[in-house]
Amino acid sequence: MGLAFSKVLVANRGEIAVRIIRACREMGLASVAVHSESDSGAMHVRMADQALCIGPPSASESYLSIERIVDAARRSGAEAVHPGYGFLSENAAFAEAVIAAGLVFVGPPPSAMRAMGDKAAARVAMQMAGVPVVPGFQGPPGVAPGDEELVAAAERIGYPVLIKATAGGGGRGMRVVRRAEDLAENLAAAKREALHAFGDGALLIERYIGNAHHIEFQILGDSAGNLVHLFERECSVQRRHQKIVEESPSPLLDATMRDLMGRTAVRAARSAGYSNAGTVEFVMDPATREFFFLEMNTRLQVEHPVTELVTGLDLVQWQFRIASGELLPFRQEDLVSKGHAIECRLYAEDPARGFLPSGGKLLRYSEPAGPGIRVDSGVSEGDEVDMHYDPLLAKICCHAADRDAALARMRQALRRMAVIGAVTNWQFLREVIDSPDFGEGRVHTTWIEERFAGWKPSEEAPPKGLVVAAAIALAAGMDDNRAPDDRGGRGPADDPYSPWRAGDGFRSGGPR
Amino acid sequence: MKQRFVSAGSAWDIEIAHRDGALIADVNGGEHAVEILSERPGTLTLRVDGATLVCDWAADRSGGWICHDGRVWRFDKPHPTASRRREATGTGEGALRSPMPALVVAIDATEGQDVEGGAMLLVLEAMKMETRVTAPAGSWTVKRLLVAAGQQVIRDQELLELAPRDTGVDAEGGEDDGQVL
Repeated sequence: MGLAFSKVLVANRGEIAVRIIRACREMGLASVAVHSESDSGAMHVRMADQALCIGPPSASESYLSIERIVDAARRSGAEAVHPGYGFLSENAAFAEAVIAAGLVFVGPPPSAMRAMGDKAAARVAMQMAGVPVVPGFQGPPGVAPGDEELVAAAERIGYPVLIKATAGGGGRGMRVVRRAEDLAENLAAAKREALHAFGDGALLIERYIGNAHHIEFQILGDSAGNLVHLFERECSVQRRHQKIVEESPSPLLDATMRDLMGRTAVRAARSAGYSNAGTVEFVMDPATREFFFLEMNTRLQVEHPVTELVTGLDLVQWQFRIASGELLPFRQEDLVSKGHAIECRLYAEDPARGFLPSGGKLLRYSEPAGPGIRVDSGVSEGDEVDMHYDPLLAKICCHAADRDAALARMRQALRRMAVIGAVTNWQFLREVIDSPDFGEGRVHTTWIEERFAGWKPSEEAPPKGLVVAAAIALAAGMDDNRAPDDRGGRGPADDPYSPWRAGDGFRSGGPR
Repeated sequence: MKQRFVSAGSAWDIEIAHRDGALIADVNGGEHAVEILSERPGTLTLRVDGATLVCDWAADRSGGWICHDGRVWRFDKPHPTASRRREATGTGEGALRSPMPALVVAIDATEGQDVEGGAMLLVLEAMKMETRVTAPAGSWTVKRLLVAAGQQVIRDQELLELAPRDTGVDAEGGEDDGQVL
């Protein structure tokens, strides 16, 4: 069946833009990339059939500008817009602007985005739909509760409590408060963060569940109201509410729990009038086996490859088909999850500096490959890691018959990566995967903070063989007569073996 | 050619020579048989004492990186001038530097203020996340604020100067050569 559109604007950057453009190619759709001035040579721009510059590096003037993106869609002749994740993907006003311009928005209806986008309103809606929510306080709909009300609510709920931004997601504006005397300071900081990140400082407060597992269900629905879940993803390996490792199936769920939670997730989505791809997130107390609705993400999720690997479905292609009006040809009972999939997120973050974002030029970058290994990335060797944007470089995914086999595959995949030039969390990922707790699936959402507090990369001396390698490889790349470069950057320009030469040649020779 | 590298705090003297048609590496006085299996831009495959090693590498002016088996090692070729300057500026105590490119959101410290370790000095924001910069362990006086709220700072930019209290010693280091210390 042909689609209702033939040209798609991808309103994103990085690995997800590349992923979406790949799906466009496979479906015979023309792709249009948009980019900021600093991204003119980025991989998503190099891959798309057409690329338009939409503004300066600052995301608020480029990837977050509804006006500029809709204008770019018009100018390019695109008939549909895929928002990816992050940026404007959960912005109902953006979806409405796209639709008002006569274009297809590849995502849920704006009404469903609004229903789920306001975390406080979503809590109320879920309670009415019979979906369990974490005990908490959000004030009346549309009214941001004052500090006094939040303080009183915290006393009622009991410490520890979790402060969240009503408009939020991704850990921004989110804070755990364990003592009453710390509440005021954290409310102020959360409000500042929420204002910066979402332009809305409204907060809500919830009971904080210790040792919680984060388990989410992938939802897919068509415009006729057929809704299914594509099983769960366990995303409990998080650092400050940022997911690092995800897997499916969850080591915690049995068939009965999976079925119960899956049906609850579908009910949650149905109550919002949902269609297209989305994710219902639950927090689960492993002691009581209680689970609570956390939020629904009304977009494609970063960790969607995990679901694709176990179900064999291409979620991005299904997003296009659903947006085009196609109906789901399968029912819940037709769907099966096969084997085990794990994803590790490679971030340009410096573990030795509290995991702060690090930039740099990728002097060497090569990805693992082989049976059961999938890497979704938005960079290649020679690229500059831009500090303006999300530090996610690549997602390394492994699929195998069972969890142990998938873990073994991941260990080898991480060993076969090569990244030089930007500091990444790569070694940290290896230690997470190798830890006995993770091996046994006993990982909760604060495990990283507890188990890896103060973690630093090991500083052990290199094996002698590597000293030999250094002597052979680096002899050509060095020049005794020059002062050391304090930034550790550029090699001698006259040195034919310097990787800088290769890198620059790559950039200037490649498409812009 | 004799070379000296420093990696992970250890120094290595290495010389690679041809002997009877084979390559021999002398590493800190111990000999190792070396065979170069393949050499491509940025990737080197060696056999050292019978074990195969695949290494990705990149070089800069003062050394380079070797990436092997999921890890990256930095190798520095010691530079006499550089090491002296590093010592002269000590550990960089006195000036607190920004750990990342960031926006200064708020400044809690004031010049002349006495602070203890852990005291909140200022708040940075990067990637929409706030980071608090606090005083290191000890007793300090805020000597000088070097940034203002609303200012964009680069990685390693000095944010403020602290002087240890009651010692009478000026904590500010010597000349600043911009080195990451």
